[in-house]
Amino acid sequence: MSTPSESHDYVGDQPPKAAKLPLKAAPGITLRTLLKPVASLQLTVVLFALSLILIFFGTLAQQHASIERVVGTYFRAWIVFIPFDLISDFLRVFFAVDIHIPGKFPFPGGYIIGWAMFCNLLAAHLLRFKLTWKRLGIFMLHLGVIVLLLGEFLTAQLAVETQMHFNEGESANYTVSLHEVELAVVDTSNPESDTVVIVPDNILVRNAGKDWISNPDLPFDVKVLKYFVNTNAVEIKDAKTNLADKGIGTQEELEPRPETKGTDSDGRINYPGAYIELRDKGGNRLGSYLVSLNHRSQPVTVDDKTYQIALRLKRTYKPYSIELVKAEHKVYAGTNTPKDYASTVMIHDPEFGDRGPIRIWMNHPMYYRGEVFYQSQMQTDPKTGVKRSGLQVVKKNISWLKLGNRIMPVEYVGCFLITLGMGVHFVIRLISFLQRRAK
Amino acid sequence: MNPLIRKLQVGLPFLIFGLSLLMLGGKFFFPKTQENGFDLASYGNIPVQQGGRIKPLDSLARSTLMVISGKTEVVEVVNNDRWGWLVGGTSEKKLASASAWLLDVWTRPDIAHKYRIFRIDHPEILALIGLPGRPGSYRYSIKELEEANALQKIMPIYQKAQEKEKESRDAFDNRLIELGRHFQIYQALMSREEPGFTPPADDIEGKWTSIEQAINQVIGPFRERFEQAIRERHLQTLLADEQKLKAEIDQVGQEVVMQRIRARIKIETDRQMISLGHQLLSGDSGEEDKLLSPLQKQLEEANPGIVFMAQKIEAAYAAQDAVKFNEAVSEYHAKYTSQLPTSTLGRTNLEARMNAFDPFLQCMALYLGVVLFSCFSWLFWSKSFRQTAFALACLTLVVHTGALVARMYIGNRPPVTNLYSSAIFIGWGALVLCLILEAIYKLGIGTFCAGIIGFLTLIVARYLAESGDTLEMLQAVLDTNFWLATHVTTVTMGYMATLVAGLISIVYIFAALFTNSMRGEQGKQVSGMIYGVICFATLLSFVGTVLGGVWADESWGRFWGWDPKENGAVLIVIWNALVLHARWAGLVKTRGMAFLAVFGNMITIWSWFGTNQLGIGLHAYGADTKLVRNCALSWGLHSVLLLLAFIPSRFWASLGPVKED
Repeated sequence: MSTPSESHDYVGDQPPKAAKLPLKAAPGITLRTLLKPVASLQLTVVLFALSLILIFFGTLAQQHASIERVVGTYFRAWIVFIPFDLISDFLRVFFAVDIHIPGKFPFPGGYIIGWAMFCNLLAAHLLRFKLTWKRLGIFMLHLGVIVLLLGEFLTAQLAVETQMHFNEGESANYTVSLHEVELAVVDTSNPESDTVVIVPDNILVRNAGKDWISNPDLPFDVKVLKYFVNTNAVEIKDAKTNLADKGIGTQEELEPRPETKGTDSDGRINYPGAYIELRDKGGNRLGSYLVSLNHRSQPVTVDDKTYQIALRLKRTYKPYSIELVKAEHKVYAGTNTPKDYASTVMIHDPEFGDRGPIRIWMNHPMYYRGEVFYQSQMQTDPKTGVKRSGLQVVKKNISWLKLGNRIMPVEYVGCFLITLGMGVHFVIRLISFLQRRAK
Repeated sequence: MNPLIRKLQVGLPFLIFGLSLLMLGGKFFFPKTQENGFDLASYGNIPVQQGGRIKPLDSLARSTLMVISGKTEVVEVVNNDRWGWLVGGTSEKKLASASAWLLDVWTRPDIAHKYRIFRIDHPEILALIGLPGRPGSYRYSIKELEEANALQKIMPIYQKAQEKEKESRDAFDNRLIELGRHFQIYQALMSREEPGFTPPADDIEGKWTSIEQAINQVIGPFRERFEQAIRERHLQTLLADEQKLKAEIDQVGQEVVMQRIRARIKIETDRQMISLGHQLLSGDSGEEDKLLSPLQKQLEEANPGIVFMAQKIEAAYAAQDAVKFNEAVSEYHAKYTSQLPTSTLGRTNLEARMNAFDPFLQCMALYLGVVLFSCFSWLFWSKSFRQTAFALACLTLVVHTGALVARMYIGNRPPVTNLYSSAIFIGWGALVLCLILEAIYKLGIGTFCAGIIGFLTLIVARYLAESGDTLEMLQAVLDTNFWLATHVTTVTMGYMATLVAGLISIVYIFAALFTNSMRGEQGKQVSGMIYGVICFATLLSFVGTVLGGVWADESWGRFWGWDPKENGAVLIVIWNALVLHARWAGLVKTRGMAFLAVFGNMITIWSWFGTNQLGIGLHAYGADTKLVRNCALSWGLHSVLLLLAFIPSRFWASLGPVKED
């Protein structure tokens, strides 16, 4: 076998003769000279190295933060500030060396590296590559990489993941987002329907310890005294320091917990909580309350009208409801290891009528109205025996690629092209290798 | 050349191959079945159910003993004078095989409790219990632990450790919890809660009845009556000494006193129930007992197999009557085992046979031989030793493949289901890949690398087996044969190919640095080998990772989730792509590529084991402190290798100017 750099004639130390660009940007400076550094193979190697470092630190960071947060700050970000302490973490876990290094260093985030790879690849094809049969595999492979990079970018922008939870025999007409909460103020005075006003968590967090949150739709103003990302509800230890003077907060208090981590196996979510102070529109104090994901709603009375307030997972209401007709939860005999679980559901849609029953189980999702419902969790209450099912509800980024009633994510196309490209290139190389040997 | 030596050279591969085959055949077809006249092999063949899986008793005994003591047999550490300097002054003497140990636990507890099987090596735990450190063994018997009052001393601290959040537990807490789990496992075995002996009539996959269950089915309804009687007796004694009772109430309060009384009644009832169970099971009620006799009849009618097990097999062993024992075991097989479906029996029989043969241990020896003969081939008798190594490697392939297929058949699973099986599979894949390379290049490097990777991965696997049953059942998310077969297998093969490229590179670095063998054609060939394997690794790891994405998308609608294990897999893909692009860009030549490939090994170890240690993502199937140390060690060794890159090429024997001497 000859040495590889010779056989790969399209990339080598000599400038390639093919593909001359006729475009001229300015006298003396051709587009070619501008593109040349962008197209360089050295840059490719550097970008690969940068992506490796980013992914490595993005993995280490999951010891401290949830996957969602790490993805947001490392991979779906333009620039990331990586704490040096991640290095000391690594040394501590594997080498039992305990050193603390303060500070952070800036590093290109996933978007910069991704787009740089994208430009590098496009420029290389404009400049160096000539489409010949021999390079067909490489072309397909690189096209696949481009689709993959775009696909991941689109997923970052568009994909929405939510969950739907219900007990056997119950119905649900909304999904929840496990990583976002909202402060809900519910007016239950109308027997026909409830009126709900929502304060999203980013507004709560942004104004924590600062201004009053005020809105004409809200029956009262809200001030966030303290906000916690993750909490436990515990008995009040010291009544003097308790921030709440009304509602549940007079019986229990919040104990801050560390944020859930990407490296946890149990899939626990954060239980955010907050102490809020309320005043009516006239500026009269209504009291301070404790709200958290650990608690159900509690009443607040303004001007003789009672509202229910609660901090709950962010809801998205659907124009239909889904009824969990039957839940199956099997374990291996004599163990708690789950073997199989499935949910049989009925869809009640006022617009399109009823559908079902449909059985959803592992790797057999249900498709409805542009969303996909996957069997995700199943719990059986040890006391009552009531089964509670959790469905993962995903809105796919692009729905243009359909196979039957299945929606293929755009990543499939990229990966398919890359794999096929690799295969084609391998076959082409093999043929030329055999031809050379035959001579 | 002396014709005799030439004949020897030609015959050597055949000779070594034949001898090895003979030894393996002997081990496989004529396993040792009897111990002191007891046919323990046949006993160990009895199918039982534990952990949701049907397995031979021998497997249960081995995996339980492995978890508790880190060995598959009971050993005693003895001082060894003659060879002491070689093995650190001590060596191990086998006291009982796993099956014999299990029988002792069930029938001769006084002997079983003297076996030193509980491994406790954390100095703080030892200090807490008040046991002496026992370097070289660190194993303690139930008797020793009982005499030291271990349980009472551990309990309060154990409970505190359990209540702690996972992340705030330290090494001491974790080891204590582990020890607690070992006690529980032993307790479940002792109380006959595990394993199940007889399947439900209609569904073999359902929960099998254990001895404890069988007894409770019969005497359970009497519990309340027992408790009533004991309660009445207690109240009478309490009321008899009113003064004392009042004093106690004044001291600790009524609530606590009530709790104490309830606990005492429960303990006493439990004890009575157990004693009744024993009498029931042993069958010798003496004369006709009005209560016992009908119950015994009831037990025997409902669970004839279990009564037979206890009254015939175990009674014979307790009396150390080998003849009766062997008769009883074969009668049990004829009467009860034969009732099971043949497919189940085929699996348990094969598993028992595998336990006895221990194919991976044989493979380890074979791999060592392969490495040795490959090394010899570089010194003298080049062709002869190379062929010997190749022949031996082919034989290893047969054994390794056979064992792999047997595991797949027993578990009804694709080859890779957990960390243990990934190690075995990587060894196997490396062997296949290296044999192909050796068949093409004939340099002895292929067989050498096959031997090294095979041996090392099997050591890793042996160590990973300490966590218990290596054929354990899978979580529901993982329970998809199609994806296990495609994604997991391909990704594991990607790891394997990356490791092979790294190992060939290590061979290249040493050969090029210290010898001039890597000049000219040979160097080019090795370069081609490394390059080709990296291409292969890129393909496999990419396809494997993508399949993982497709699986995730099918299962929960997320093609890529950036979890630690996924990131580990994609690191390997990107690293291999980096090496290839660096090669094409002319940034590195063979030497540089070799160093990059060595770094690829470090990344592979990170992805394979390192990511699991960070805590656990969706994919992680185990975490361990010893693994951490070994990861660090392997990275250290590789780093030392990487330092060699800084030696200028003129000092490299194969790369510098040709010396004329």
